[in-house]
Amino acid sequence: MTGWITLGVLLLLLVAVIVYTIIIYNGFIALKNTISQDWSNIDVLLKQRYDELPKLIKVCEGYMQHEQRTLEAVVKARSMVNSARTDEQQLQAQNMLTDTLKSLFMVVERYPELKADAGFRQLSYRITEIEDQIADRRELYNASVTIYNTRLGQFPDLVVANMFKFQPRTLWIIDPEHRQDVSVSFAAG
Amino acid sequence: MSQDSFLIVKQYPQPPERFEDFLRLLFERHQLDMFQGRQRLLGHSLAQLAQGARNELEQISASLSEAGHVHWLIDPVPPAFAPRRIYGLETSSSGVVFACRDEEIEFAQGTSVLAVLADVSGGLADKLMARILAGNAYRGREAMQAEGPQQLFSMILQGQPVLDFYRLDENKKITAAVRVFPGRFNPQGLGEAATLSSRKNLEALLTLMEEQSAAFQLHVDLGVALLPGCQLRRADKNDQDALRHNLNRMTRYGWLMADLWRHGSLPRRTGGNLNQNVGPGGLGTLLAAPLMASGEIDREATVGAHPLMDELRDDITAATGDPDKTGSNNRQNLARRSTIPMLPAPPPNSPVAWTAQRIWTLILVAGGFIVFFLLLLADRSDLIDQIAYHSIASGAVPFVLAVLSSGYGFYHLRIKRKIENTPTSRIRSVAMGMVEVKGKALRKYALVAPMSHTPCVYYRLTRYRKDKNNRWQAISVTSSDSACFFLEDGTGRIEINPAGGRVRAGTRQEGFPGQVGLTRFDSDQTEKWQEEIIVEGTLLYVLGFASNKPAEGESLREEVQKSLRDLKQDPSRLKQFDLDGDGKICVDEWDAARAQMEEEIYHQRLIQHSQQRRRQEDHIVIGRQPGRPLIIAETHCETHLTGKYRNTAIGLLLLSTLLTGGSIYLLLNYIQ
Repeated sequence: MTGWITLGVLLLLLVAVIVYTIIIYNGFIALKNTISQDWSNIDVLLKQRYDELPKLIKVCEGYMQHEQRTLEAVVKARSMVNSARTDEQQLQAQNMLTDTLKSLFMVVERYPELKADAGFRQLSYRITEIEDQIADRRELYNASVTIYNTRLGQFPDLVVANMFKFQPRTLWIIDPEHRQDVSVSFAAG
Repeated sequence: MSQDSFLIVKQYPQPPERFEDFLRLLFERHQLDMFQGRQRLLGHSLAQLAQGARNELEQISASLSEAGHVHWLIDPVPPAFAPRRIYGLETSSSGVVFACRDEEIEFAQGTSVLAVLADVSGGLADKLMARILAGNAYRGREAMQAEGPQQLFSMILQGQPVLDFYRLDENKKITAAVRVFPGRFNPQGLGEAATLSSRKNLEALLTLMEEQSAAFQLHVDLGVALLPGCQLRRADKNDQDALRHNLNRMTRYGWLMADLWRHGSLPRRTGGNLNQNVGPGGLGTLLAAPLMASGEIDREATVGAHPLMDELRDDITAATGDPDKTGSNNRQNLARRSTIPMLPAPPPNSPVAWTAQRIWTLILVAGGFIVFFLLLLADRSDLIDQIAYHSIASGAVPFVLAVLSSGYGFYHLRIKRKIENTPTSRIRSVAMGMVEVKGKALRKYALVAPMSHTPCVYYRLTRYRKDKNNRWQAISVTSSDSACFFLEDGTGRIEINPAGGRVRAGTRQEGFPGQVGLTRFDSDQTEKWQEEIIVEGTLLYVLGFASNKPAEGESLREEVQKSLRDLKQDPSRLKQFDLDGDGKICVDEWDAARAQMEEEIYHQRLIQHSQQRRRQEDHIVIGRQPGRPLIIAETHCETHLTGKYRNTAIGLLLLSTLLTGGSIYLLLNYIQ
């Protein structure tokens, strides 16, 4: 009788191991999808920023007659985003767009009337808000990737990961140019 | 034996910066207990910090002066006599003469007068506390601030008010004192100011005395100030002993206030971090009154509908030594109090949601009961016994329990991993879908816990009743599932809908029906309540599904359509778009009209919303989605939460193993 009981308990443990393996496997799948979703959620915000730009440029055009080059740079960067085909191109174009927008907002300081415009204030606030959200979501993406990669290396998840050949994902990495120190000069004029 | 000196301090409404260092200094230099120091130095009133030999107290006084703390070092004069009760009064150009039982006491014009107004029922502190709690419960913690002098004065008059006047000589020593019981003296001496209202007579008398005197002080904080020999007892109208006790304490208090006036405050607060005036928070109210503890009424400020109250307010200004700052502070507080919006009432508890899981459970339970009763009706109790015997003896019941237990264990394991696998989002950038957020809980509605009356964002109340065996049996569970609340982190605020979620509240207490406040255990009670609450302001962990709330107002498209409809009804405007002048609007012209409308509406919206921000709490809500968990937990860290799920899962899986072993054993025995 003891043998039967042992067999039964062993069978139960086997079932438990199978169920736990399923849970781990499903967890990996969910994590992979979460990472993809987090990446796409960044794209959603990038698209929102892309859509807001024509309105911003239209408002700026009325005031910034002498800053055509800056505006053109923003328009060009925006069109590069549109025409980018690969992920790398897309990343470069988005970074370029961020840079040109920064330049635009710096130039705006010379146009007090534009700064006082209600429409411009709303749009610039909106774009800044989107920029903050993009930064947050990139952090969230990196957090998801870190959890996923950590799980890949931990036991017992490691066994399931090797069994089903789950591969590590790469973190979002900042453009190396943005890592450089900002040079600040207080010298007059 | 020489009499002890008293060191009286004016309390800080809020701890100033480096307050802990100051307490430590008092401990190191003078061995003053830090806990007691904190208790005595924080508040809105006066308090005795120390009592003892004068030379010892002088050293503490030096430290207080160093920190710029207002205080008094006094050698109290024991009361030489009690105020004499008055039965009437006469006024003349030389002053006011009070008629007592067997003598007349004159308060000549130009003397210094100290007045004490107190509620001798001893209920002032309770009323203040009740007001603070009610304000906190229904208006939020921002409303917890100083009651105005008007409210305090009204509260005293609603109790059993008694008014004392002390006549002081040029050295501020008491030379005579009278006691006024409102409604129990002949007010004819007030002249035209006399009315049938005892309250108005009292006000008129106060005004008269203030006008007659050269210097006037009114003190109204008896019963709330922590002063030696000035604590009141709670007294009913018929409790003569308690009333006598309180009247004696009132006399003691009056003499003590005269001592303070005579000595004057030692140093005023001089700048720096310790220079704090009236502020919100704490036991707000014991407050405004004590601020009247020193200084004189500004006669020029007696304006407004209620002159006495204006005087009291200005007395506060005088008392704190910074008229502009304190006066404006107090007025700001009063103004702010009136502008703090009331939170809306919580929605009624929604009916039980009929989820598929709930329906199946109900069908199974109802089916079981129906079969059971049918068998009973058919007089087949023997069959019921047989079914019960065989289902247990064959191990079927333990096996079903094992399956349920393991299923529930794996469910907990899944939740644990879900929590671990979900990164924490910032509220300002929450995306739609499963999200994890952390932050401080804030009320959306004026939700108050039913038993403790604590302002909370969530409560669950379980009622228990004793059964035949004298054991507690849960009879009902109610919760505030339908009341949403807000969660706020450093980046924004979002709405949380707790309906259908697993809520782990951090505060739990037991009590009895109708009880408010602390737990009380009484074996005679047959019903008890258990309340679990999430107190407003606590840190919460939330894992749930973020979705858009139903949109309010018209969308851009709807607005454009409406504008186009209006345009069709207006031929003169329509003519503007008839570019070729043929009297008809062709497709291209109509597209141009639509484009212009869109642009106009968009521009209008930009201008309208230029000052507004689309807040997360207005359009996103985190709640439960079918098939996905919603977890709301009051916890300091995620690991602590996942640890609980892990332990539960392990326990259930072990139980499942045991039950399986047992069911196999029973099955084998049953077969043999």
